[in-house]
Amino acid sequence: MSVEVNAPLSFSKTLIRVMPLCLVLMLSACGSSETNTTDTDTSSSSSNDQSGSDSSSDTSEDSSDDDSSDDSSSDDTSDDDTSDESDDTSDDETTSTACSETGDMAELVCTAETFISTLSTTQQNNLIYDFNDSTAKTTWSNLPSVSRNGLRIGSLSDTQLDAALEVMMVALTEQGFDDLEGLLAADDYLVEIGGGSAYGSANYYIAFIGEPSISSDWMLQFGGHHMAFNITYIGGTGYPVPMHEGVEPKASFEINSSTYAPLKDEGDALVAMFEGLTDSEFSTAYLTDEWYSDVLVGPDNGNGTYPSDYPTGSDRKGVLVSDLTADQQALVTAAIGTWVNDYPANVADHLLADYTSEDAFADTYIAWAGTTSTTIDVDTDGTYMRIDGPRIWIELVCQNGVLVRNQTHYHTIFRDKTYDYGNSL
Amino acid sequence: MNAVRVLLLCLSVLVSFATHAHPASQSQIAISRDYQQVKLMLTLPLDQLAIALPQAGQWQYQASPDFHGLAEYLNQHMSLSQSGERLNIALGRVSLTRSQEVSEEYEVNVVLSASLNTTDHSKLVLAYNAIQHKVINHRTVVTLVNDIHQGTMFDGPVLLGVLRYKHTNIGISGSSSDIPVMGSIFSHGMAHIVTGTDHLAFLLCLLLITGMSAKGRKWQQQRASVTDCVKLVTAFTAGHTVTLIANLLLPDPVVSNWVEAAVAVTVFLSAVHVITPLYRGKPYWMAISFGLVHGMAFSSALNVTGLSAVTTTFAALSFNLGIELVQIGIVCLLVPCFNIWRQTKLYPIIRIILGMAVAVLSAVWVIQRITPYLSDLDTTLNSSMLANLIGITIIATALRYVCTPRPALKNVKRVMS
Repeated sequence: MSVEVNAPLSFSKTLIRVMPLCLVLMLSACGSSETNTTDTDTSSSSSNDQSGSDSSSDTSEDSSDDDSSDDSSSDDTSDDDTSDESDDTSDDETTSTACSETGDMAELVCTAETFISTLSTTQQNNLIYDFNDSTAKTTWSNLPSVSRNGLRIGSLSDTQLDAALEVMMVALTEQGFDDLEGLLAADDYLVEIGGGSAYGSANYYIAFIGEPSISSDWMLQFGGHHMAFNITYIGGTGYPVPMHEGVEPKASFEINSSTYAPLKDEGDALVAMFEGLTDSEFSTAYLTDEWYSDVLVGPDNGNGTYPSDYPTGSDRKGVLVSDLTADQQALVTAAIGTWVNDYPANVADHLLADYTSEDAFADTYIAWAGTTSTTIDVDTDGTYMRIDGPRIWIELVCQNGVLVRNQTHYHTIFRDKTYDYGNSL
Repeated sequence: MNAVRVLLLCLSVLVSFATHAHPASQSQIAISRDYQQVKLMLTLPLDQLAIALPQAGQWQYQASPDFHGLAEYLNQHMSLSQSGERLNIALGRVSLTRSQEVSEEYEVNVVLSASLNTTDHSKLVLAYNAIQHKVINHRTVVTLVNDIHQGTMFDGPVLLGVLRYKHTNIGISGSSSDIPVMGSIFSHGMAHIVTGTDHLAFLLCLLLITGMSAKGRKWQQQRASVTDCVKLVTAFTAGHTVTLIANLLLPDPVVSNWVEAAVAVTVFLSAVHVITPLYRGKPYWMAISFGLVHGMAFSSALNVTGLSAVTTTFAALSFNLGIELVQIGIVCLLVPCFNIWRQTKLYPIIRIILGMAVAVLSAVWVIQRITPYLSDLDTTLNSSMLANLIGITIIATALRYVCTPRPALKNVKRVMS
């Protein structure tokens, strides 16, 4: 809690300060919007695991705050919800900016151009890369402090930052933007508990590979520690892969009076998928003699190529989804949805259709690994779950915490074996 | 090759952060190849190894860890072959150290070696899946830290690749004949002195005062002989050859800022000596003893990790021969020039100005090398700058020579002889 902490904190304060402002504007513009279902946030706060509050109890005052806020956090979250909600409603209807809220590519390109117009020429040059730059496309990592493309969020003015976040609000659904916000908050939380200046929401980057365009090809990157949004638009159709999300702490945490557990729905959906299996299916899905201390097909680190290391043939182990009942298959679809539905219709619809078709499920395996073959415990180091389809590739692994040592944290990857980077490298 | 090095740099950054922000650490294999043997230096993260080899989990709690079983394990999971034949790998030193990045984590360091058939120049193939056979996502970064057949002695390690899931083989390209390698070491020696500003500054100081004799606090003007100068720089070379070889043969060569600072101090002392005599004895002793100090610093220019003593000695000798050749070249160019200036009244002024310039420069180096100050001051020299400096000196001397009235010059010459 020394000097280092101040900078990122003040940044996140600005974030928090600015957002309600926009929201109020939007609210007044689009009339009232009711506050109800934000599944992600409410579920995270209500079904909150004890371990979460325990974990942050390293600092004693926090823990008491935490506990109380977990229970009463409906206030906080509902505040949050309202705000997120109104963001979204504004997506659907009216505007705070000049962009008409059609929710399609036109709106995204409009917000992207608005963002560009807030930047100096130098900043614009640093933001936009050539669409043929395969090195730039593949430059992303799970790690903090590595070199990234584009503009550092912490270097932007308030207006520029608002415009950048507006782009992400349109590029993502509410579910997706909640993840983004939660992961930023998680990094600020790591700063708060003494993680150092490598962490913090200021150290995230936004970049455009190619000029934003409704019909031409371009790519939107937003990422930092534990986050890589790589959305390639090919003729207006989006491919949000590869996508990396990770979070420490995994359990819900509180910062600046808001409670977050950004990847809880992803983790819970995968666990539910495996818990929906019969005992024999469950043990067929278990990867005997295999251990994963991280995802298998991880960051591309600017290598300019597609990964070639997916399991093939008899190495594709697990339970075949087409052998499952409709109810069990619905759990698989739901788990896939926690990733794919982070994106709006022009991205999600075609992918979800492809990933969950009968043909696809006939070639999709779900498998898991961990210390014991009897139960899936996301609180144990080495617990690993994956969905391996003809195209879809989702992995989630539980690793020991780096800063929050008393709990595991998630690393996830979502890839498309055929359409990573929109197949444009 | 450059791209590979850049990649290596990125990777090393990643590796260092990986251990910082990431519990799933990678293994590393550093390979060095000499004429007769190849050495593999393995660094295995203990927590990952313990998943694949459970007994390893106990090592960090044992006063003297029992590495029994490691040899057999590695033998099962790695092989090195050449022309289709498996080489015999011998297990050397094994040690357990704390990771430098994360203090709670341990690393197992293993040195392995295999003898090479000196007549077989075909490529080596390393097949390796230790840890990875169990920890599916485990990655092992393989670098060629040194190869007598490649330029790694100066250009640093080369990334060979990353062993990982589905990629469990790596090739080390075949070797070439010996002479070009020693030749390149020779030319690197030449390049090293051309860009070694401190070395050149010291040489300049030696040349400014050779042939002169100290009288009280002042220098007596005399003509220098090229032969004397060559002997002097050879004495200097002899000095640094001794310490260079001695230092390189140590298990861990001494490379420190203090050595670099000591070099700067010797330059400073010799610069002061140019301005006003500090020492009356034979200049050879000064050249030899300062050479001993400079030799210590050269060891950072030559990477001999994993090479045998014989190869190291030959490499150091080739390197120093390159240095010596350039020194003699400089002597042949500069000493005649200095001799012409010595015949003028300007020489004492020139000598003192040059001496002061070197003194200031070396004072800057001392500060740069032991304190954090002045670090952004760039005093490096490149070959074209050096050529320009020597060119200017020669042209100025030529002008001076042409403008000097002949009779006067003859007079001086008569006096001198």
